[in-house]
Amino acid sequence: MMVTQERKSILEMVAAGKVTADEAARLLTALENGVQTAVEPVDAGRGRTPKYLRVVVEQEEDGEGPLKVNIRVPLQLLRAGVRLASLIPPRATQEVNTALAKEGIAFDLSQLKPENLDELIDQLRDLTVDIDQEKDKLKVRIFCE
Amino acid sequence: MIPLIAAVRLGTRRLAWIPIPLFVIWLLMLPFCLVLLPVYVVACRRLQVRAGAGLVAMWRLLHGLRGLHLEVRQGGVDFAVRLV
Repeated sequence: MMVTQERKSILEMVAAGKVTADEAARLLTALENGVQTAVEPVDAGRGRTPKYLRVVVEQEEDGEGPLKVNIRVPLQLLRAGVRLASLIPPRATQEVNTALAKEGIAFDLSQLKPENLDELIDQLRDLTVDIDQEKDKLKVRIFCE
Repeated sequence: MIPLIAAVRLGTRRLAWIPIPLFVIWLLMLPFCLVLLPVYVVACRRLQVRAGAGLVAMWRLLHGLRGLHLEVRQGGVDFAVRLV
């Protein structure tokens, strides 16, 4: 219902001459994409724990033709990685923390514990990263499913 | 359960998945792992890492690989790997 109203207002703006047909087309596409990104993860993820982290990269033209990369990483791998990280010796942890601090990242690796992981994964349910670079015709989408 | 089969697809057309039996690789690696186990334990002691926990973590890492899917398509060439 909301989308129909927004679509109608875009068409009204075209009729009033406030925006061109091209601009209106772009607005409508953005509206459709926006609705997809807003609705999909919520519908797909609500009520259950996400199992996979999905990375989709699409580039329309890259010299050798259109490029499409589709990666699905099980979140179990993330869990295992954190468990492995918790085995890092204290001295190495300190060194990593110092190196991160030098780069301006105030992060304590020792705080990354398996106990906190479920909460982190639960928060990932609503994660959606959308990068749309018009110049290179590149689209990157990261989400959990 | 760790991934037992890797399915690979490579080609210019949509070809069928080629199965690679990973369980054979795991079985072949097992004797080497047993031989290297004492070395691993000594290294863990030196680095003050719990050897048992390390083994469990590595097993979980292998276990976590199950379900991994990677697909790259460019200019009609398709490459995909799936661990099942």
